[in-house]
Amino acid sequence: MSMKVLTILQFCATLLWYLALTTAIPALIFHRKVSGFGLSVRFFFYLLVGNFSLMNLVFALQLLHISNRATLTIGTIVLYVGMERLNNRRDMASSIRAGGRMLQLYFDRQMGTRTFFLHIFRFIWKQVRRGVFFIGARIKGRLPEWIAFAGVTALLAWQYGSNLIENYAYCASDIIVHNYWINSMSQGEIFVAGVYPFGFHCIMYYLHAVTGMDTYVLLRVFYLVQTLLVHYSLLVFLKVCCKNRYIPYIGVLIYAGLGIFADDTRWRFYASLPQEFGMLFILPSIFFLYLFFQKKKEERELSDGETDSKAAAKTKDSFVCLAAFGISFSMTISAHFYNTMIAGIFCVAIAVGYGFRLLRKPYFGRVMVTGILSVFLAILPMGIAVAMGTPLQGSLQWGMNIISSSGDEEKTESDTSDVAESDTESSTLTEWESSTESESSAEPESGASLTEAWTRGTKTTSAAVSTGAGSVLSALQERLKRVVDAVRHEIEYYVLKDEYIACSAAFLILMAAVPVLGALLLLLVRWREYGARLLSAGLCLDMLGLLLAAPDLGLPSLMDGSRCSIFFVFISVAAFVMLLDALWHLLTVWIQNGRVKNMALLLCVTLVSAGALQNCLVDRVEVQAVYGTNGAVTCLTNIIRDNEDFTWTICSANDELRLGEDHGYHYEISDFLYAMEGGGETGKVVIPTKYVYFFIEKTPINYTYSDYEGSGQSISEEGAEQNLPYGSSSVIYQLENRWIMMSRMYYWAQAFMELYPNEFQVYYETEDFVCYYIEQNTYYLYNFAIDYGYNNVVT
Amino acid sequence: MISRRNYMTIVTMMAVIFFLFMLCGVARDYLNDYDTNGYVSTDEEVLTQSDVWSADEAAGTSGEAADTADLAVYLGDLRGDTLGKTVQEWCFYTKRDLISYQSLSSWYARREETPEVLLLNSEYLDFDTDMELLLELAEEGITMIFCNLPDVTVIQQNEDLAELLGIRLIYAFNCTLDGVQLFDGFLIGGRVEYTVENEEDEERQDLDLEVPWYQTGSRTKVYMAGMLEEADSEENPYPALIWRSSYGNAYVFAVNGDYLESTAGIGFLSAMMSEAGTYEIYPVVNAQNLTIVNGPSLTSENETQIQEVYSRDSRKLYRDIIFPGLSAISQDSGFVMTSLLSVRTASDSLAEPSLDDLTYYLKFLKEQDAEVGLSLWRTDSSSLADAVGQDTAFWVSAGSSYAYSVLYAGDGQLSEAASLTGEAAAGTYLENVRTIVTTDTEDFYLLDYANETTTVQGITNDAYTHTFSDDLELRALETALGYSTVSLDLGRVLWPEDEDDYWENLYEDFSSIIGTYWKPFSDYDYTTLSESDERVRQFLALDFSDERTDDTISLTVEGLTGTAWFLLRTNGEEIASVTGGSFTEIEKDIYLLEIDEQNVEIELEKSTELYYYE
Repeated sequence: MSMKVLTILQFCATLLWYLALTTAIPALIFHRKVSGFGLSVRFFFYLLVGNFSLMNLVFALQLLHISNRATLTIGTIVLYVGMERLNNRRDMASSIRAGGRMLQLYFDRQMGTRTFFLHIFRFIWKQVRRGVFFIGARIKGRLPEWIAFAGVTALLAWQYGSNLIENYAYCASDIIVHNYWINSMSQGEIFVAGVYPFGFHCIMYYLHAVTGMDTYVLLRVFYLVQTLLVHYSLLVFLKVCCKNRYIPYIGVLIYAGLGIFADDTRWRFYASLPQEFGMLFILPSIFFLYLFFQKKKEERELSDGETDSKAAAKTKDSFVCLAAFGISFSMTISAHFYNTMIAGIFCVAIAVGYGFRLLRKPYFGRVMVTGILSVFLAILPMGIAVAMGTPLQGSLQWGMNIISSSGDEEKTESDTSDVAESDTESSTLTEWESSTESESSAEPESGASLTEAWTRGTKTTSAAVSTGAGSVLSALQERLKRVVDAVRHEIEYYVLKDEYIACSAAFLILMAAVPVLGALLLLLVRWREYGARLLSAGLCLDMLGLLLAAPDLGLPSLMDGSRCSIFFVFISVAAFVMLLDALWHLLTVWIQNGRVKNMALLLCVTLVSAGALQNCLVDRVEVQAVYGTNGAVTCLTNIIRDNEDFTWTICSANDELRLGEDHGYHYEISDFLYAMEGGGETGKVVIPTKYVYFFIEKTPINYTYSDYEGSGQSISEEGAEQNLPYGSSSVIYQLENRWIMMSRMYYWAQAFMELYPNEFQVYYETEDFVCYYIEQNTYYLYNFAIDYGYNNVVT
Repeated sequence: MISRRNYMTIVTMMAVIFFLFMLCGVARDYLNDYDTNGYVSTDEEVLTQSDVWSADEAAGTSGEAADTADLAVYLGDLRGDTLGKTVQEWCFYTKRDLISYQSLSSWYARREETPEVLLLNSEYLDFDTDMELLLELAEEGITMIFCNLPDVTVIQQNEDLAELLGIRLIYAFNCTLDGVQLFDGFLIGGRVEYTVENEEDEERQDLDLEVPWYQTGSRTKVYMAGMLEEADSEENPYPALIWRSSYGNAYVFAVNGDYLESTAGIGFLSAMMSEAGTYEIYPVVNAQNLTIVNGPSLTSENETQIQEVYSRDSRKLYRDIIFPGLSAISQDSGFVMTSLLSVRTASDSLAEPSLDDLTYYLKFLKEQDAEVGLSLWRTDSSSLADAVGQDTAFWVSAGSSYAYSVLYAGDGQLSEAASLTGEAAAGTYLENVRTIVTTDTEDFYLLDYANETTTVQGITNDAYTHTFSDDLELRALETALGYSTVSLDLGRVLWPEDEDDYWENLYEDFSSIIGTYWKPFSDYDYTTLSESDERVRQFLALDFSDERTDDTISLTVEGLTGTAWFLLRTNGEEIASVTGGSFTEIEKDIYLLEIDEQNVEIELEKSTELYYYE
């Protein structure tokens, strides 16, 4: 079977399992409770409930050290059945009882086998028909929208899915660390490297433990699941906020396909990472909060004038929205703190936009209590772990330092924030791994000069004020100009590709236009809901702009620029589409016929899309496989399939240590070569498993570095003649060192093969990669230490 | 009251049932052609000694061989040492030309061709002068087998020799092993440990456990090692007993002990050669025999003792106790019995042999699909000629037309048996004897010809005892020949010397041995000795050559008159297809080929084809 086919099947299985466990089951329980919402909002409600339930189930079982497939399965059943009972719904219970009765009849031989299976078949057929009718009715009613949805999904599949079958290895350096943490959960050890937001890890571990899918497989394919859902969350957010039904699709098309954004704003979507998983919960928390304000207002209006039953129904809707907001916000914390920062900023913006309503009694108390509860629920597992003596993980300590720092310390910290975060996010996480954020440390002097300029400006302004030489207004203008310059610079640096930096002006206009238009609509046109949402989105975008430019403005850098740019683009696309919708609505307010409006919009979108395609504005990120080869993953998959667990060892450069941890052992190439260095046959290297596999890259990958001057050179005698590199294990597998290591390994393999031509054989070989294997007598192991011609060289 | 009608119906049914049962018995008796031996081929053109493969040139003496691809050179004395006999026998079975010299330099001075393998008896090596030449030959790529090792002090003093042999460290000049372990993939039968774990094992332990403790280094692969408490698989490797060292372009095999000085040596040599190349193919017999010797006796003998021990006479002992037990084991194990009956076992028996007994045993054994042969054994060790003379009158009066093609010869009786069979037996009741099964193989090979028309099939195992060396030898013979003959001596039962000879004790030993130690070889055929005789004749007569082109091995077999069997041993390859025959996988990388045609094509494929590919 082709690895491509296998990968697609693995992706489909992952998607189905994930949606079944996090969406389908909650849907069975809650579908009547949320029947007042649209399909898309309901979908996200189920998704939030499912993720929240499973995440906390795993936390609870892990902290009790009783987490395994059986307890997780039983826990899931108990949890969902409990929810069903609490939800006072009798359907499922009565169905189970009916099934039980039928089984009893069958086993009592009061019902024949044929009749029994006929009943089952009829039941299944009935459900299938219901499902088909349900889907058919929705497609029939909104066919153009479904076509648009399919188009968006196709674009996403092209943009992100094609990488799935092109690069089998991980596409981010951090994943291997998360792999390690998830593997540790299988051994009952949560927070193995310290307390960290483990929401993503809980879900991955849950899928691994319950479905039996390997963690490395999940981490390879899950990125596409979460990326699809993140984009769908943007779509649903826009559908909630926009008046036009089709404009939201433009937002997803822009976000997924427009080629003006820097690759750094997108490449992380090609990797299964906690931050990107957490992005899934940012916009749902926002649109559920929007919906809360809307539903609560309707509820109050109804309770004033309509019957009690209708009011009660609406009350449930507002409660549902508030609960969904709470668990969604909670999961931003559980997944990754950066997402909480963005959601928090958005909440602050909402507080301003919806200030006219928030400060009223029926809203304020509920929102505050929900917010506090959600934070408490998310922090509780981590708090328990800290109380049990587990230290904070490195990156959290850095975050705590930032928060506790003040004044000059903050400035000092901000100057080194990029480096600091790199250190915590990678070196502390991985112990050996270099960070991918190296480019951020190369962030330039221009930033420093801007900081200086800002500081100088402050001083100058202070001097001006103190001397009374200039007016306050001009000082403010000057400061504002510098802020705008700083934001613009950061947008040009982080957000846009070099050839599109001119578009930075458009972003500045957007940042100004959205809140202004929102405020106008809110205050003048009295489109209060609509205006408040637009205003809050605009304000959020502005605050993100400031966050992006924080180092240049002398503010504490709470988030690395490259990370911040991801959220900035995410929110700016949402804000842009909301602006577009508002403008479209204002411009076409005189057109009464909705169909004509939609046709006109469709025409505009088609023209703009055609223009974008013609001008090559639709672009795909080229992700380089710098963390492993396809050959290595292919071999690993076969090795796991072919052999019994823990009868084999892979000798390779680091990554397979974690990938195959549930099935076999790993031996570092560096340890292997060091052991026979200088000693040749007098050294001793024994690996006590029946099978030993050696992964050698004939063209070494640029591990963690996308490029260097020796990039792409093949292993060679010249490489083997170099001194073996020593140092921390991240360094010895990077750049030229990897080339030396792989060259040495290759010539060792050639020499060993001469000694053992029958035993030492090629398992798999491509142009860039070769895997050798040997079957050992475990009672009398081979000594792999030989004189291979380069290990006795003294240079 | 039962009606007449019902009464008649019941009576009729009972009569019918009675008739049917009786009919079965009558039919079985009537249709039993017990007086013919169905295992003897009626084909008049039988392979004889004249058809036996022989080396191209004078094998066994100094000289030159024509086919250098299959040339083996032995450094030692073919006639003067036991190793020489092993080497000679192995070359005979594997159709290798053999030349021998008693000094390395004399062979090297006269050598014209590069041999396939150099077999070295260390006693004939002068390591001071020969070392340089040995290293040169290793660089040249000639496979070397040190059939024994020089004294440990010689190795200690000669670093080059230690290097050649892959000895990293002499851990102890002498150590007493707890046991011996044979690793899988070398001899057929899988991994086995020969250690004493209980009292019974103490009786079985007969291996030489005093050996120097050599620790091998990298470049080596160990096939058999000693077992010691203080050793392990990682830090302090077990004492190596048989191993391979890669030196220069050659493989050098070393044997730390006397394992090659018995018949088992041929198995070790075959296994070594299969480790020396990418594949190895050689003919095998494919026959597993169970022979019941010295019984049953047709004369009532030793009645007093038998009555005392078993409370019945010897006839009932055979009929009621021994043969039902043998029949059950035969069916469970798959073995087909060849029962070699005696007219009498004591020359001075007063009783007359019973013709009825002969008929009974022939019928009974026929029903068991067994074969019947002859035994001339006497308790007083009288000569075979005397026994023949004594028994002739009975056979004349019996007028049996059964073709008794198997004759048993005990220790020291093979030569006499050879002189009584073949052409010399014309007109006597031994004229149908085609094969002699014997424990006496001192002057013959295990599989050989006793005379022009009569083959020799050596007994490889005793049914009542199975020591560690017996087991090792069994595995070695199954590897080299695919052949074994187990002998169950009923003479011990009829003439017991102590309680150990009582049938219940012997039966217990026999049943556990036969049901345990032959299981790994169940892919070989279970045969009677006449069937085996045909296979031996074919095995000894054929010659073969093989050539590999890419993944295809072309095997050409000469002298093929029926079916022949070969063993193919690969290294990490599987058989994809065979034309001109069929195959059975015995173990990983070991295949039994059944060849029906002269030219056979064997296609191989890599056994590690990946399931998932890019």
